This record gives sequence, structure tokens and C-alpha cells, in this order.
Amino acid sequence: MLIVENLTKVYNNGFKALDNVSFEVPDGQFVALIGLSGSGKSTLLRCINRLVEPTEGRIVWDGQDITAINNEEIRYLRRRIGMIFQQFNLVKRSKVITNVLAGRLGYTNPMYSLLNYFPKEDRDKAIANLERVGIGSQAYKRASELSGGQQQRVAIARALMQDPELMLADEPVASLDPATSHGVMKYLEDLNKEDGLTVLCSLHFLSLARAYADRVIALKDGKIEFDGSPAEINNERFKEIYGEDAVEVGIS
Amino acid sequence: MAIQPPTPNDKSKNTPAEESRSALQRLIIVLAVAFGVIIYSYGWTVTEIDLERPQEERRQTNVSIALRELLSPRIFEQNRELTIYTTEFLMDCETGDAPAQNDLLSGESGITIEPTCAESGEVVTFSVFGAEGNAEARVRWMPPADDDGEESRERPLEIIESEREDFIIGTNGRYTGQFEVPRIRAGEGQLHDVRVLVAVPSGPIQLTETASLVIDRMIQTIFMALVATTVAIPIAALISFFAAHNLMREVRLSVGSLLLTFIMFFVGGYLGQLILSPLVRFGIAIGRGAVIEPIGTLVAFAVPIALVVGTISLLNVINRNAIPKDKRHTEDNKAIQVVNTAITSLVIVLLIGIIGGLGILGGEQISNLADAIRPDEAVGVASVTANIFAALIASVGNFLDILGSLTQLGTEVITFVVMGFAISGIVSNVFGNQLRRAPVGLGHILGLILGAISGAMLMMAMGILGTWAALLGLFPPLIAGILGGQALLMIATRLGLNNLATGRSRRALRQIVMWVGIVLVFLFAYNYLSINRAIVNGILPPQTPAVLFGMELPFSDYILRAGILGFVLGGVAGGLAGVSSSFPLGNVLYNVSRTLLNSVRSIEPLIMGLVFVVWVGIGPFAGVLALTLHSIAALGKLYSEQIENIDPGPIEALQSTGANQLQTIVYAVVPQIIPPYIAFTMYRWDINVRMSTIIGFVGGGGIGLLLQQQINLLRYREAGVAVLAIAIVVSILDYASAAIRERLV
Repeated sequence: MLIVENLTKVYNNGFKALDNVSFEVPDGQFVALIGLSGSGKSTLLRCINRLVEPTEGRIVWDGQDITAINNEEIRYLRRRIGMIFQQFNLVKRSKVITNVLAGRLGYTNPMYSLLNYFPKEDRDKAIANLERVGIGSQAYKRASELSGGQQQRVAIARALMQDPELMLADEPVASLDPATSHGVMKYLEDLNKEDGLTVLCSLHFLSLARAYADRVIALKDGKIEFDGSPAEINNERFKEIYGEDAVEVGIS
Repeated sequence: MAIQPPTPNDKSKNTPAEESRSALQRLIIVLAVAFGVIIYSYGWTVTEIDLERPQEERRQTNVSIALRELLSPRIFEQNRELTIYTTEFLMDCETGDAPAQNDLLSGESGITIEPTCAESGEVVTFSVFGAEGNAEARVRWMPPADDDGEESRERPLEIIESEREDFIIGTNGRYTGQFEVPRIRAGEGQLHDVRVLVAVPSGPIQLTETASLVIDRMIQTIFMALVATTVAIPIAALISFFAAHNLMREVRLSVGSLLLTFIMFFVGGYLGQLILSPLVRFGIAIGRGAVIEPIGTLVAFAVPIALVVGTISLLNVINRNAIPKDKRHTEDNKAIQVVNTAITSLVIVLLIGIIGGLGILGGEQISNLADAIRPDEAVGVASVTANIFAALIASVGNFLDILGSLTQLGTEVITFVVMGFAISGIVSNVFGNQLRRAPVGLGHILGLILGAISGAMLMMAMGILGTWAALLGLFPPLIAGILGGQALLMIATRLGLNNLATGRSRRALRQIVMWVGIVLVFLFAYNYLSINRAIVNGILPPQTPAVLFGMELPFSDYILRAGILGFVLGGVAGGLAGVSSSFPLGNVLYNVSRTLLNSVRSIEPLIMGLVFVVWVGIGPFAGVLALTLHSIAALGKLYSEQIENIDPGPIEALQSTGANQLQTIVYAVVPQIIPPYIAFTMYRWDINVRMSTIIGFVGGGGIGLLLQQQINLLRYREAGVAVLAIAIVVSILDYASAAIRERLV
């Protein structure tokens, strides 16, 4: 269970990205975060694994208040939370396998990892995860040689190395074409359905949220504008979330 | 300025106020341009630009000669075969019979003179026949041997036409010229010789001695640049991480951990020198094979291998469960970390010693090998090759020996740093969390105590630096000022400064309060430490021995005062902050390393060279040291800018997996910076070659020294060879480094 209570984030320049946000996510749910650019989706996701320090409020996950833990505890927390990004955030010059193994660094003795040594079980696991996302044959290529969709799948494999219980996805398909987008979303759906991971995924397209999410949370100017099932979003709600002039475009 | 009322037919709708403002703006622009022109003109005066001087005939002749000679470098030479033609000449016809004219058959070579006798000052004509066409020749006067039979000296003669001694034989092998019979004391009535020396080039064309020397020095110069660059790379790379804002911005430490780390670093360092130095020396002894004779060498190689293998397997056993895989686990295993740090630091120190010793041993052995190879005399191709081979091997031996000896010299520093890091790491690791969890009141008391101790240590260290030179004496008041500024800011915050204003004005107010604190405390410390006397008189800060409670202390009064200042200010700042508050360590490290890099970089290598020449004497070593120091600063800056330019995404991604800071740097930063690092290193080598060509001007060795010597001797043709060599090498390297950079970036 992930509990977000009165979460507020004010950046140093005075911008209020999150304003008193509260919600609860039961384990195993697929939650889509929607909203305009700058509505606070990325900040909310990053508060959950403390890449961004919340200004006020609490986040409790699995009984642990993760806004009150120290740096050392943050590292142990982050091992359990996978994250993928819009820009994939792979090291482009490194090999695919190295990028995937990097997901295991939280479990690896720093002294070994400095020598680029990973236990055999980890290396096998990396290959297995790459195979799971369908790119086992690309393991020894440079990450930059892969297409966008393949790179995002490498990023998913990297997150899987952490054995995560919670998956944060920050606009995972925003830089991909429609067909590839569905491919990536399918893998997230798999993780949710088969492995029982809780997924928090910010999305631009409502149609993707409708297709994959159990629940939609809409943010507007840092506040929750809507929280419910995707089916409940009608044209009126849509205009409330995205503004009067917005028209829904689909991705099929 | 009068405001013009708008005329009725004025098309613009400007109000009079807008009109006058734009007029005022125009006036300001005109005034600014006029002011700019005046300032710029002063530049032309102050640089003494003068069109008369370059037009003076003497200067024009000089510069054309200098340029001509520079552009006629003496690169090649050819042996000349000298043919000497002689004829006799009687000085003063009345004293005897004129010698007979040389009777030359057609085709026979020789010279004639017409007439064969004359008085001093008379003009005679000489002709050369049958000489090598186009050959260089000169005409000389040879007075007879004196009464004691001692040969007299040959004198140059000036040909009237050209006013020169030398001339070129015509293509037909003939030349006719006139000269004035010289005045020679007691030469009347004697037979003198007139000689024409004809030089005919023969034999193979060779490099001149200058050219060989230039090549020699050019190689030296390139290697000076190479050594300076390579030595600078690791140091600059290390510093660059601290000078990269994007990495350092987020590095924060609790005040308690910081103060504890600071204190324990010096305590650990001191202990390290005491305890670990014998270990390093023992390591060096093992490495040199001096422990167990006669199988010492075997031991020297076996021990480090066994040590590495043993340590790795030991650490492997210990660390099997160091990182708990258990999801519920939220703390590192402290005991394992302590054991790891202890074992690793001991082994590292011992290994450094052994490797250093092996270097010395290897250096000796290889030098012996080189001596064995070197033939007794260098004759013939085989022995010359052997000689070169021996020289190369000997240089490898020398290199190893220097590296090994460096370890020996650096024992104290190595042990201080290793043990300092180990002890401070262990202590802050074990007690850091306890400090953070301390109750508020206790936190402030602990902050006061730790702050006071750290402050006193810091200020005393600065004080010791300050006793070295007058300007460095400014450090203690500066540090005191910064501490004071922070302390005043914290006091003001406690008193409710933040309630006075919000947003931007609050930030401005805080800045003002901090600066007031800095200036006040700086002035107080400046006065209290009597820095004025040091600055004005150029003498060191007062160094009377310190007396505390009637006891004479082993340091000066000045250092005691600095320590008291640090004790008070550090205590106030630490006490107010409390041990659990967060300290922007990264920002401090960033600012310190940037300032250091910028100030070192702003000193030209030529100036550094002057100091190093005083230290290590004239020669390439001084040049290498100067270039290395400057390269460290320049590369550090360039490298750190490359780190700041990297894609931040991978860093964020690795942080989100739970990797620690070091792992994030190794896996997300390092792969991204390798290509630009190589490119900028090439660029720096290129710059270093250029710099090392002139560092010789201050005694730094290389081709610059040669060039300067030749210019000082006005041997412009020789200097031309050096200039040509520099131009060729620099442009080749310029091209090569540009090509490599293009591939990498």
C-alpha cells in the first residue's frame, strides 16, 4: 500500500509543483497519471523514490515513512522501486548488458562494481531479463545502436534487475511512435498482471490510460483534479483536466 | 536639455516626456561612444605606437638582414675543397726588382697581379684564371715571415668594387678585381704573397651541427610536452570531479559527520604516519628484495601477488553478505565496512611500498642489464645499434627507479592520506547516524564542541600557512570572516530574520547580513592577528612564542590567536547549526577547487618556469614541472566542464536503482566523459608542445633555450633552423590533434 498524504513540493525558485496531494494506491494497481506538462506528474513520481525532496507531507509505503529516512535508507528503498524515463536514460556508449547490470548496483558490493565485476547469477539474470523484453540478442551491442523502443525495453530490463515491487514510469512512451508505444506499455502491463507489481505511470495520451490503467489520477497545477476509473472520464471531465480548448486525440 | 513641444504635423505620437527620454538616450549613447574613443586612443599612446621608427633606414636594414638570415636557415652543409692560388708581390717598387708575372698558359689555373709591385695605398688589379666556375672565393694578403721566422697572419683584402673580401668566380672560371695595397709596418722592400682561396663544394650534403642540435632539442621538447601532459592527466581528472557543479551540487553532509570527519582525518593522518610508515618501509624492503637474501627477488615478486590474492579472497569471504539482499534491510553492515576499510587500507599501504621497492629493484636490474649490453666502443653498425638499445633500456630502468623512489619520498604523505581517510571513514560511518539521531539539545552541544575543535584546527592550519609569506597571512582572517558571516546569519535567523521579508527580498537580506558578518569578522581578525604589519612591511606575521597560563607552547602567538579565533567562531557556528543540520559540502568543494584551478591557470607557465628554474636548475626538468602544474589546472578546468556537459539522465536513472555515489560516477559519468577527455588531452599536448618551445627562454630547456642562445649571439641563420623546426612540428601536431579531436567529439 502506497499512501501519499498532503504532499507539497515547492522548488527553490518558488514554483509550487505539488499542492497538498493525497491519495492511496493498493498493491498491484496500475495507476496512470495524466495532466498537462508542468502539472506535477514527474515531481510526484520523483518524490516517491526521493529523487526530489518533498517540501511538506508524508509518503508511506509498505508501512515505512519514506519522507523521514536518511540517505543510507533511501538507497535500500530505491532498490525496491524501479523507474523508467521518457528519455530512457541509458548510458549510450556502454553495452546493453552493462546498462542492464547497472540496475543491480544497489545489491552489488561497491568494491566489486568498481572493478566492473558482477556475480554470475546477476549476469544470467541480466540476460534473462533482456530475453523477457525480447532483445536478448542485442546484449553486447552499444545502447546507442538500438532503436528507441528497444532502448526503453533495455531500461525496463534494467529496472527489473532491482526485483522491484513498485514501478514508476515517467512518460515512458512520449518519445516513441504509436506502434512501439503499445509494445512498451504491454511489457508494463505484463509486469503488473503477471508479477503483481504496482505501476505508477505518467502518460500524455488518455487513450493509453484507458487501454492499460485500472485507475487514472489527473493532476492540474499540482492539485488532484480527478481520481477514478478511466471509464469515468467523459468530455466534460476531459476539458476540466486539460482546459477548455483541448480536444482528445487518440493513439491506436 | 530643452523639451521640444511636438509640432502639429508631427507624425509620431510621442509625448514630450518620451521624446526627451529618447533624446537623453541618444545623448548618453553619443557620450558613451566619445568616452570609448578617448579610452581607446589612450591605448595607442600607452603602447607607444610610432610610425617614424619603422621607417628609419638603419632599422630597415637591420630588420631586412635579420629576416633574410632567419629565412635562410643553416640546415645543410657540404664539405669544401679549398684551392689556394698564390702570387708574389713586392711592396714599394724602388727597393728591389719586381717579381716576375705569373706566366699562365691557356687552360692553366692561377692568378696574376698587375702591377707586381706598388706602394701602400696604390690600387692594383688581380685576375683569376682557370678556377672552378661559380665557386666562392676570397682574396687575402700574406705578409712575409718576420725576422724570427714566425709566420705572420693572413689579412683580408677588400675588393674596391664590391667592398667585400669574397667574390664569385665567373662561369668561365675567371675573375678580375682591384684592391688597395694594405699598409704593413716594415713591409717595404719585402716580397708579400697575394692569395686567392677558391672553395669548391665537394662530398655529400650533410646536416649542419646546428640542425642536428635542433632535432635533438626538438625531440626533447616534444617529450617535455608529453611527460607534462601525461603526469597532469590523473591529477586533473581527479580534481575535475570536485570542480564539476552538477556532481557537487547535491553532495551534502550533516554538520556532525562533517566535523567528525574533518577532525578524524587529521587524527587518522597523524596516527597513519606513526603506524603505517614502518609498514611502507617494510614493503619497500620486501620489494627491493632486501628482506631474505639470496632469494629476495623471488620473495619480492611472490609477496605482492600472494598479498593481492589473499586479500581479495579474504574480502570475498567477508563481503559475501555485506550487501543484504533482504528487502526489509535498511542499514549497511557497519562491522563489515569497518573490517573492509581496515584491511584494504593496510594492504594498499603495504602494496604501494612493495611496488615502489620493486620499481627501485627493477630500475637497478635493468640498468645493470643495459650496462651489460653496452659495447665498450661504438664502432660499426652492430655496436651502434647495441648502444642505442642499451640507452633505451637504461632509460626504462631510470624511469622505474624514479617511480620507486617517488614512493619512498612520498611515504609520509601516502600514509597520512590513507589512514586519514580510513579513520575518518570508519568513525563517521559508525557514529554518523547516532549524531544525526541525537536529541536537539545534545545536538547543539555536540555541534559546539566539534565546531570549536574543528574551527581551531582549521584556523591553526591556515595560520601555519600564513607564517610562510606575508600575503598568505590573509588566509586566517578570510576563513574567520566566512565562519563569522555564517555565524551571524544563523544568529540573525534565530532572532527572526526570516519573518522580516519573503521571497527575493528575504534572500537579499540574508546576503547582506552574511556580508556584514564576513566584513566585520575579517576586519577584527585582521587587526587581532596584526596582518597589517605583515602586508605593509612584507615581513611574516608576528612569531613570538605563544604563552598560555604561564606555559610556553611549541607554536607562535599568531597561531595561538588564530586557533582561539577558530575555536570561538567554529564553536558558535557549530553550536547554532547543531550536528544534524545539513552542510553543502559539495558546493564548498566545488568553489575551493574552481578557485584553485582558476588561480593556478592564470599564472603563465613561463612565470612558473622562473620559480622551478630556481628550484631544480636550468634545463628541461624545470620546464616539465612548470608545464605539468599549468596543465593540471588547465586540464582540470576543461575536464570539469566536460562533466558539466554530460547527459544527466543516466545519473538520475542509476540513483533511482539504489546505486551509491561512487557507483553512479563509475557507471553513469565515466563512460560519458572518456571521449572528450581524450580529445582535450590531445589538445593540451598540442598546447604544451607550443609552450615548451618557448619555456626555454626562462631556462626551462628544450628548443627554446637553443633559440634564445642563438638569438642572443645574433646568429640568425642558426636561429632560423630552430624557428623552422618549431613551425613544422607545431603545425603537424596542430593538424593531428584537430583530426583526432574531430573523430572523438
